[in-house]
Amino acid sequence: MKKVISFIFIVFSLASFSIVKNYREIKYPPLKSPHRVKPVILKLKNGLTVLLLEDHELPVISGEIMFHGGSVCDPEGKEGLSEIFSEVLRSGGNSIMSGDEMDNFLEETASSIECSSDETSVTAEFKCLRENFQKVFDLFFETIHSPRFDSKKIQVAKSRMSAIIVRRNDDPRSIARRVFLRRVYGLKSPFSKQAELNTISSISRNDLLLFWKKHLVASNAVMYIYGDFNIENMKKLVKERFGKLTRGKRVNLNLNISPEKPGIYFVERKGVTQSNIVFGNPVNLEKRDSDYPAAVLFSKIVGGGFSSRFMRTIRRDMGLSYSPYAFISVPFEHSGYFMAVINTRLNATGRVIDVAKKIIADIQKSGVTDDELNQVKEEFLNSYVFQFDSKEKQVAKAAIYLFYGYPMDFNERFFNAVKRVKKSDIQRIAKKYIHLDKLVFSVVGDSSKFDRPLNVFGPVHPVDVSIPGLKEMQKRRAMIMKIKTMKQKAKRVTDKKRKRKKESKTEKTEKKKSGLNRFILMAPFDGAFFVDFIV
Amino acid sequence: MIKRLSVFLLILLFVLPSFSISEKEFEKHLTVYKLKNGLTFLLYERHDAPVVSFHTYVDVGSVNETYGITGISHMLEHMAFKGTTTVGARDLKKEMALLDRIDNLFGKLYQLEDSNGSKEEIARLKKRIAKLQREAEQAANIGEFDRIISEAGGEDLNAFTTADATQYHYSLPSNKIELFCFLESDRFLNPVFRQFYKEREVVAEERRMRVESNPFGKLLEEFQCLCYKYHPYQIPTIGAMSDIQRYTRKKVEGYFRKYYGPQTMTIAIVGDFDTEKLKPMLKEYFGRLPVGKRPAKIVTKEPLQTAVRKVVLREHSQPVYLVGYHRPSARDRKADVAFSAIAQILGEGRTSRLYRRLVNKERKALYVGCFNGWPGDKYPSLFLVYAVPTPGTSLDDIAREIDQEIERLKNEPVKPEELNKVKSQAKAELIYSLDSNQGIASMLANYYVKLGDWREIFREVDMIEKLTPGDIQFYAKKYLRKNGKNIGEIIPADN
Repeated sequence: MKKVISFIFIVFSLASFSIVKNYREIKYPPLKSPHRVKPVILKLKNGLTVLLLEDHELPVISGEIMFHGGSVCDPEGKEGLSEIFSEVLRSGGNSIMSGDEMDNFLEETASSIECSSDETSVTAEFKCLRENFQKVFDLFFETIHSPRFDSKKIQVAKSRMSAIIVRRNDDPRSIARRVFLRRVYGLKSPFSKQAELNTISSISRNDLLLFWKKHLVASNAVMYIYGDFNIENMKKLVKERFGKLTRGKRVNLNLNISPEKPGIYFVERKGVTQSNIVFGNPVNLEKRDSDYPAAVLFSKIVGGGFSSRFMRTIRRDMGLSYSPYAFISVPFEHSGYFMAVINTRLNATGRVIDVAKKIIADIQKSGVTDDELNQVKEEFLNSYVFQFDSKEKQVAKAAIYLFYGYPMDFNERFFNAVKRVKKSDIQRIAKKYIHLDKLVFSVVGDSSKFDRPLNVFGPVHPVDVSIPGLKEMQKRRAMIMKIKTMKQKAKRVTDKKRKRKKESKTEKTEKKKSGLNRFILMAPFDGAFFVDFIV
Repeated sequence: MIKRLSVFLLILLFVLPSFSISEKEFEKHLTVYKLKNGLTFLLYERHDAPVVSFHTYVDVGSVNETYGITGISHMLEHMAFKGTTTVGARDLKKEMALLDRIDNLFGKLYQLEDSNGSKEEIARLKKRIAKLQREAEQAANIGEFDRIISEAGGEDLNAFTTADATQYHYSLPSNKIELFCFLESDRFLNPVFRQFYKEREVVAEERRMRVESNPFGKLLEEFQCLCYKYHPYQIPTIGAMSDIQRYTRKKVEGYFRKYYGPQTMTIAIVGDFDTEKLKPMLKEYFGRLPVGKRPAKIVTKEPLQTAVRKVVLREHSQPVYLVGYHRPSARDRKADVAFSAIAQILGEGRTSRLYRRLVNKERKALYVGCFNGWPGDKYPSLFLVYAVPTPGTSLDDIAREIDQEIERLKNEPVKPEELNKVKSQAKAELIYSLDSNQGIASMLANYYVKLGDWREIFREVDMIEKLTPGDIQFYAKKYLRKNGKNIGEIIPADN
C-alpha cells in the first residue's frame, strides 16, 4: 500500500512540475536554519583554554593547538628559527617515540600529527580514526610537552630550509609578492624577517629549546578537539594530559611596522612573457575595528571574485590578465595592507597599472553603485549558511577568536555589522585607507619590452634578489659531492672486480644477448622500419 | 624500542578494521537517476547543513582535440560563464547581429594579416571591431551568470579542464536547488558566446602565466610532448598560442553543440534535498537537452617506448628532475591500484623509500614525490617521479638514486609493513573523504564516468586490501622499464 501511495505521489509530482522561462520567476522555499554548534569550553588550572565538540557522523577525531609566537619572534641573526622549530618539534620525536618511529606509527594507522608556524603563531594538529585515538593523542601531547629536538633532525631541517631559501626566486609571481610585502611593512619590521643561508647556519639546538620553553606554555595557547568521542571522558583525558603543561605567560609580540618609502621596487627578469605587478600601501586596521566590515565589502567590490571591478574591467572587458585581484588584508592583532595583484603581457604593463589605479580612483571619487553594494551584501547574507556546513569549521573558528582575544560570537556580530554598511562607508574606506599618491609597487618583468618606462609611476628602485652566500655554498657542496662520488666510484670499481671473478658462464652469455638487442634498437634505418614509415 | 613498537603495531593491525563505511550504508543515501536523453545524475542525500553541492562532469577534454583547435575544451570551459539567450541577455536580436558582424570582421582581419595587408587597413579594422564589441556589450548584460550565483550565496564557483574531461562545480544554499537546475540546463542548451575574442586574450594570459613565465610549467609542456609520439595525450590542455589566437566563435560553438550534451554529461548532486522531489525537476529542466555526438573514439595506441628520451630546459630556476614511465589506464583496475601502492611506497609520505633516503638520510633533495595518471588516466598514461635537489646536488646523482630505488622495486618484494601501511591508509582516506559535499560529489562523478560504476570507490579499497608484494613486483617489472624512461630536467641558466 505504501508503495502504491508513493507511486501515485511520484506520478503526480512528475506531472505537476513545470519549469520557468527565466530564473527570476523561481519561487524559493524558505531556507532551513543551519545547526549552530556550541562547543564545551574548558579552562584548565594552568591557564590553557580548550574547546570540545562531540560529533559522531564519522569515526574520526581531530584537533589543534595554537601558541602565540612565530617568525616575528626570530632573534636577529637567527631568522628562520621559528620555522626550523616547528619542523623539528614534530620530526625530532618526543619522550615516547623518535621522529622516525612516529612516522611509521602514524602512517601505519593513517593518522597524522603536523606542526607549522607563520608570522605570529605556532600550530600543532592531529587527525586519526577513533580506534587509534588514545595513542595518537598521547603522541600529540608529548610532541608539545617533551620534544627531543634530535640533532640529526635539526640538520635535516636546516638543509631543507637552505634549499628553500635558494629556491625562493624560481617563480616570478612569488618574487613580486615577497618584494611588495617586505616594502609595505618595511625591511626593518618584524614581518620582514627573512631567513638567509647564514642565519640558518647559526641556529643551534639551544635556540630551539629556548623558543620552546618560552612559547609552548599553557597560558599562551588555545586548543580544540572535535569528533567521535564521549565528552566526559575527553574532559578527563585533556585535564590529565594537558594539565601537565607549564603555566608560563602569554607572549607579547613585537608587531610594529615601519614601511619603506613609496615608489617602484623593480626586479629585472629576462625570458618571461609576463610581468608580475603588485601594489598597495599599509593600512592601519584590525578585525576588531568598526571599519572592518566595510573594508571587507570594499575588497569584494574592488577585487574579489568574478563580479569585482578588477575582474570585470581588467579580465573580462580588456582581456589583460587572467586573475587580477585586490583586497585590504585585515589581521587579528596587527596592522594590515591594501594589495592589488596583476600579471599581464609585458607590453601592457604600464596600461594595466593605469587601469587598476583608475578603478580605485573612481571609487574614491564617485563611490560604488547601489547595485554593487546590494550584490555583495546579498552574497554575504546568502552564503552565510556555508559558515555552518561543517561542525569542525565552526569550532575551529571559535578557537581562533578566543586565541586572539575576540568574543566567541565575533562571526555573528561581524555578520550583523556587514548588513549595516552603507554606500558612503565604502567610499570612505577607499579614501581613508588607499593612498594612490603614495603607493608601493613591486614589478618583476623584462623591462626592455614594457609599453612605457616604469618611472612615469614614481621613482624606480632596482631590487637585487640574488641570494647572499649562494655561490660560495654551491662551490662548497659541489666539492663535497665530488669527493663523495669519487669515493663511491672507487668502491664500485673494486666491487665490480670482485663480482667479475664470481660471474658464471651463463650470465656472460646473457649479457652478450642483451648487448645485441641494444644494437638492433640503435639501427633506425633497418629495412622493416623504413617500410613501416612509408605507409 | 623499535622491537617493542613493531609488536605494538602487530597488535594494532589485528584490531584495526573495526569500522569502515560499508557500500550498503553508502548506497542508502545514493540514487542513480538516468534521463531518456542519456544524462545521468548521481544524487546523494546528506542533511547535515542546508547546503548542496553540484559537480558536472563532461567527458570531453584536450585528448579529443586535434591540431588547429588545441586548447578548445579549455576555451569552452571559459565560455561556460558567459551566459545564455536568457542569462546575460538584454537586446538579444541586436546582440546576435553584432556578434555575427564581429565574426566577419575578424575573418577579414586574419586574411589581411596572413597576406601582409597594409598596416593602416589592419589598424582601421581593429578599431571598427573594438567599436562593435562595445556595442555588443551594451546590448547585453555582461557578467550576469557569475552575479546570479554569487548573489544567491553560491560558493566555490569554478571549472577546470584536463586532458580527459571538463568539470564545472559550485554549491548553493539548499533552498535554491531549482536555480541550479535552471542555470545549468540553460548553460548547455542556449549558450551565447559573448566577449569571445576578449576571452581568447584572457586564455592567452593564462598560458603566459602558467606555461611561458613559469619554469616548471614550461618543463611540463615540453615533457608531455616528449612522452607521446602518437597518442593525443601529447596535446597540452592549454593549447598552442597560435591556435588560441585564431579560434573563431563558429568553430568553438560548433564543437560545443556537437559534443557537450547529455551523451557526455554526468551530474553529481550532494547535500540537503529530497531525491523524489528533485527527480521531476531534473527531468523537466535537463530533459530538454538534445542528444549530440560522442567525440571520435581514439584508436591510436602509443607504441611501446624502446628508447630513453630526455628534455633539458635552461631556466632562471634552481634544478628540477622529473622521470616518467608509461603505465596502463585507470580502467586496468589491478594495475591502477598497484601503481597507487607503488607511488605510496616509493615517494608519498615521510616513510616512503625516496623520502627516507633522499630527504632524511642523505639530504640530497628538498622534495621527492610520485604522481600517477599524468596527463590523464582515461587512456594509458604516465607514472611520474620528481625530485627537487638541495643546493650542490647534481641531477645525475639524484637520477642514479631514483633509478636504484626503481630497480629495487623490481628485484625484491616490498615488505609486508610497507604494504600494510598502504592498505590502512586506503581505508582511512575513504572515511576522511566523506566529510564534505563537494568532495563526495567530485568523487562520485569521477568514478562513475571513468570506471563505469560508483561502486569502484569501495572496490578499490578491497582491491588494495588484496594486493600482494608479488603484484607490486610484477607491475614494477612490466612497466618501469629501463628503456621506457622519459626524463625532464631544469638546469639553471647562468651555469
